[in-house]
Amino acid sequence: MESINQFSAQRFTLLIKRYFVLNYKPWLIGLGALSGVLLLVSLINAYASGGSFNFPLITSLGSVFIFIVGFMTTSSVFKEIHTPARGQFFLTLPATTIEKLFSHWFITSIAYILIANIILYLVLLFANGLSNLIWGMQWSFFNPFSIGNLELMGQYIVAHSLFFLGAVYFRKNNFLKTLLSLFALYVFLGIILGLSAWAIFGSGGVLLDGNEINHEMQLQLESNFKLINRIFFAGIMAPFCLLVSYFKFKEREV
Amino acid sequence: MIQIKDLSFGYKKNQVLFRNLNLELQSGSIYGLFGMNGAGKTTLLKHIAGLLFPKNGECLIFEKNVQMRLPEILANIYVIPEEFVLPAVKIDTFVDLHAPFYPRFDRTILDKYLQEFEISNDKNLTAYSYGQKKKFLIAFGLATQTNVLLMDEPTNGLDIPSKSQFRRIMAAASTEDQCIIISTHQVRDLASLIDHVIVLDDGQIIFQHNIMDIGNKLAFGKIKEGTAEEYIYAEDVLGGKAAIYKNSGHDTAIDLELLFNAIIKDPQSINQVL
Repeated sequence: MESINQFSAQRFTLLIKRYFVLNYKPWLIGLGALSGVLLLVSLINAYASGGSFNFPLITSLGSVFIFIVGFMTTSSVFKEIHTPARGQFFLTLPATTIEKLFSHWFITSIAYILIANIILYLVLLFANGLSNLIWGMQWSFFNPFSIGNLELMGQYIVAHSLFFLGAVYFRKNNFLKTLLSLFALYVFLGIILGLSAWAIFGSGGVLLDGNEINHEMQLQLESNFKLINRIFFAGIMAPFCLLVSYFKFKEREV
Repeated sequence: MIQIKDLSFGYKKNQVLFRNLNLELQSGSIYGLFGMNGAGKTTLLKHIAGLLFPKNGECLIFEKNVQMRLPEILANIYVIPEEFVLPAVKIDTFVDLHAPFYPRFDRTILDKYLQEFEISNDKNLTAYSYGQKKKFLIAFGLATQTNVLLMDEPTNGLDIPSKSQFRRIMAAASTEDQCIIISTHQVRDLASLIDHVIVLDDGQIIFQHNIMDIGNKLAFGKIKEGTAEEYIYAEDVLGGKAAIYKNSGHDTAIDLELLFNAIIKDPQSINQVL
């Protein structure tokens, strides 16, 4: 028999349902704004170029909007626990910490990506159809399952973990505070890297001219850098942020 | 059912509210948790609900540390806080979203109490007055049928008829497997309801006795002029002095307010008699 303290798919689903029913308004506003801006930009773009569509530009812009709206939504996902008068209901709701945390992670990452991509697809389809009617523009479709888009969404999930941690950690202005913290962290890392380079190579630095780096070496360096980047962000940073989020959430008091 | 062992807590590092607090509460009882403002009543309830964590010691419910927030423990606790914000949904939606988490939730019980409290089911919860919201929460809390029901100032914001409705409902609703803790500073509201009195002062439990013992050992009445009766505590009231005596054979109704004042003023004298 399943213990009540084990992960329960039923409670997980109930938590997701509870979140959507209680928070659908900000989602509608965010996704509505995303759709409106994208539609407007698409139509302006089609009009300015005499009926043709700069599809890569519009889809890239769509992805940027998906990232921004997603991070803002994620930052406020734990608003409830930061308000004592609301938080006590949520914290005493009979579900495990993992269920509460994972349901909110799922909503703002996987569910959000699915919904946002469907909206992006529909908005582009609508804009394309409208441009087709007005200027006789050719049909082109946004493919949410393209390698490029899937990779981008993977990057969203990795970066999302930072804003998720910010949502648990900060009590107010979570989005701005997370951005500020990231900025401070990058400045700090930049200084550390700069100082390390200075300590290793001295004030002269390392001078490389074109003769020293051949094309193969450059490709190898780029590929290594990408791999290190991927291991650091997806393999270390994201799990670390989720782990810290778990402990911060577990220790949350009202 | 509830055990608090050596609990120490303070909101700030050098400010201690509870120091090695011990308390044991049994099922089948309604405990009145009394105390002055700032005595630590709400803080104690929050510890029992696992909303605050002790610096030292532990709070156990069914021998499990409530700090772990296990669903099996949380499914047996319902908190009715003094200050709360309810979501902007109708009662049916609220029930639909929250009731499935409580395995023993009974919709018929909720409807019965809502009817008794005269709460209609057609508005958003945010559109109700504070008192109505509180009555809804009380009805919902009772309908969850949890073993532990924690109520923080439940009669605050209730009008006079609602207070008597509350007492009636609570008296009928409590069961043998339930432990109800009602924290309040309005002692008169609960006089006929509770069967245990706990008084908290400055983070310490200075009094904990059941109503039966209090009734058997103490008597409450007015000091008759010209008599030299020996009393434990007395205070001026309209038309004379109200006093607490040792019970010498004839039982009197317990004046909780007088008892509370006596305990706060001189807990030793009262505790000695009991």
